[in-house]
Amino acid sequence: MSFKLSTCVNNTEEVMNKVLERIKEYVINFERISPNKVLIRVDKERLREVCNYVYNKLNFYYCVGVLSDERAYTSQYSVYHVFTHDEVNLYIIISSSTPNLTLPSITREVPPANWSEREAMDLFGVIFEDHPDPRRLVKSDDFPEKLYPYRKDYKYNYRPCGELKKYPFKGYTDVKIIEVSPHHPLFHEHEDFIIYVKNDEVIDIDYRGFYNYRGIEKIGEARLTIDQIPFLAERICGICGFAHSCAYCQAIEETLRIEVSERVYFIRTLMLELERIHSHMLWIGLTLYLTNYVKGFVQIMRVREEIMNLCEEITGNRKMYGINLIGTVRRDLTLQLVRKIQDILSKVEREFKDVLTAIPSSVTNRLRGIGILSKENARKLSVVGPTARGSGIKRDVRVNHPYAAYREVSFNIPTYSEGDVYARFMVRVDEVFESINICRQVLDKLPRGEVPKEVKYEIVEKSIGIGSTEAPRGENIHFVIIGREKKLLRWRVRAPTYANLQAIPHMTYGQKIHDVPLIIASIDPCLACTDRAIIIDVKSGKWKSTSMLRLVKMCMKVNMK
Amino acid sequence: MEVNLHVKTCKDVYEGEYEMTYRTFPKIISNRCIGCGSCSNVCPTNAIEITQYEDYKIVRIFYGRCIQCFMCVDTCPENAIIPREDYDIITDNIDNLYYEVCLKMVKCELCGKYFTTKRSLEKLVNELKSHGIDLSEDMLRMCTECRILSRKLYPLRIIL
Repeated sequence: MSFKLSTCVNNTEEVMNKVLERIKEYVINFERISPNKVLIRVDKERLREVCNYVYNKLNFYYCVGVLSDERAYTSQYSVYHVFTHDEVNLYIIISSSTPNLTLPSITREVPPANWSEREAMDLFGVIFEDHPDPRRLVKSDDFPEKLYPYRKDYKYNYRPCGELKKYPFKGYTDVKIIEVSPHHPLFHEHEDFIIYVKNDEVIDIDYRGFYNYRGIEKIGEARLTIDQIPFLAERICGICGFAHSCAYCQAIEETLRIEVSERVYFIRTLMLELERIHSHMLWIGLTLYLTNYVKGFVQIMRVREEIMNLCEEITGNRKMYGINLIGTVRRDLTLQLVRKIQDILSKVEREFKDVLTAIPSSVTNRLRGIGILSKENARKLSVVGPTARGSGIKRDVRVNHPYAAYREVSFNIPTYSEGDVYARFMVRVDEVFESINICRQVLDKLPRGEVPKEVKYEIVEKSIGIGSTEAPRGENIHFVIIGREKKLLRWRVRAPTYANLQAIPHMTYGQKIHDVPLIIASIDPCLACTDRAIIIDVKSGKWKSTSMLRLVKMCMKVNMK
Repeated sequence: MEVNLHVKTCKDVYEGEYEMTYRTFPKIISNRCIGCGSCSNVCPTNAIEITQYEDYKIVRIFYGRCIQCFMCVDTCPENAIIPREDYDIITDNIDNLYYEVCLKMVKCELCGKYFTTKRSLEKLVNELKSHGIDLSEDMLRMCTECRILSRKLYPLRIIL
């Protein structure tokens, strides 16, 4: 690993002093909530200036914007903008409060804050002044206006009814609109891509999603207690659930200063890496399927099945392991199991190599040169995970902000500079081998001892924590504020696709329409399936309904010619 | 490329070298359960409910809410909760998704209130006997309030 801990600590101090020096006169309150996290409260008039400085001058990445209803404590709403850095192990949280429901928008200076602010406008009714695109994001089209579900006085099980309104399209003229919605035959949630097409070339893509918005954060805040939430957090995603529950547990462990034994960290690391292996294999299989190489898809799924059975043997389930608790894990590794895992890993590595060598060059050539995301755009939009690494940005939470047992193991971060679909494909292929390597190191270095059955802890009200993990798709952030009665005041989850989806308009600009399914798939969107498409001819006002399957067939046909 | 076909029949999986590591829905062995309530405390989805009626207590699992996390199986002090062998819960009647165990309650000797299950009292007596403390059951047949009261009234009598 090319990352030295001692230099990192010095750098952290240096950068922090730099930030503080510049914004000293604006700071209301400065708090170091953990060794690598800083909470800065500023006046709301200065929020935009400070965020602009941190994002554009100090080259921090934007993670997530969190709005929280703190009327019970201070009769104010607070916003928390979380920034991180790819070289310095530091998270900066810039916070500001308002009593009267208006806050300055930072989207013009910090583009990735767009969705976070739109979501906050939907759910809390806070108005971000001067926001460039204040349309709905999260609330469904028939949800009543002036009803804000995440406020504390809204009951979690209340179901309102309202009138259906058509979602407004962007005001382009002389374009064809292809609406791809609401199910995709390859991915597993609901989505609506509105594709603006001119002469068979894409000029813009609009994403209207969140049809399957389950309000998980609201259930977590209103109904469940802190130690029940890991099980709910695991159900956020069907593939990378363990990364979510791990991030949540880390956030709580950090805020409440719970000591976790080394063995627990190692078991978590092992499960995280096994999850990465099977997630990447699934994605590689699906990409081969999209390029009409179905044999590759079937073979990859056969290799993947070994890993799934292994996970079942370790935890009791193929998916939704359910072994994470705050401060501990529920299953231990026996010596017999360790040997079995080592055997299966070498078998999987061998067979995976076989499948890869069998992929014909016509398939890989199909992936080259499409969906290019330049390094500048990737930087500007703060994309995460393999999408960023495919564009030449060396950004990985496992190295930048080491968690669990990643300090103890050494590994490379595969990075490609081309930025096309093939680069993202290769990043994932290389990562599978790196993950197998990490798993082996974890098993070799597994510390002896026992996993504690239960960990006792005390609740500290109003403390703030951030847990981040590198999920297969990228950086995964859980932001928690502890509230009363062993419940959370605010729990905000930023899944990696939330950041990556905002880059799709840049990737698809100028591409042919038949490449769109492949480009959308290339960020490994953890969202929904699209089954129906509406093609709208803006000039004549006619629209006809087709299926997304046809679009996928179009994508497949190119290879056959 | 050489392709190995891996076909495992159900028989191989369940009767061969494989242990059953898969988590299924839990069930309660009715003659082991003492109704302590630790399973319902620990259940992350509140799928297990314990309701006390006049002279009996019902422990009820609702499979519609169960996520098969096995917290109850791991926690149960009596090992009374075990996984079901069948995985099939498809039904057209929602009542089939409830699994219930009925437990008898014991009356307090003094005030006549039902205060604990019969089996948990038996367990307490057996445990005390194994530690060499032999108390007649009458002394234990009192609810918590009555025990405190009788300790005040008869301070010399040994009452737990």
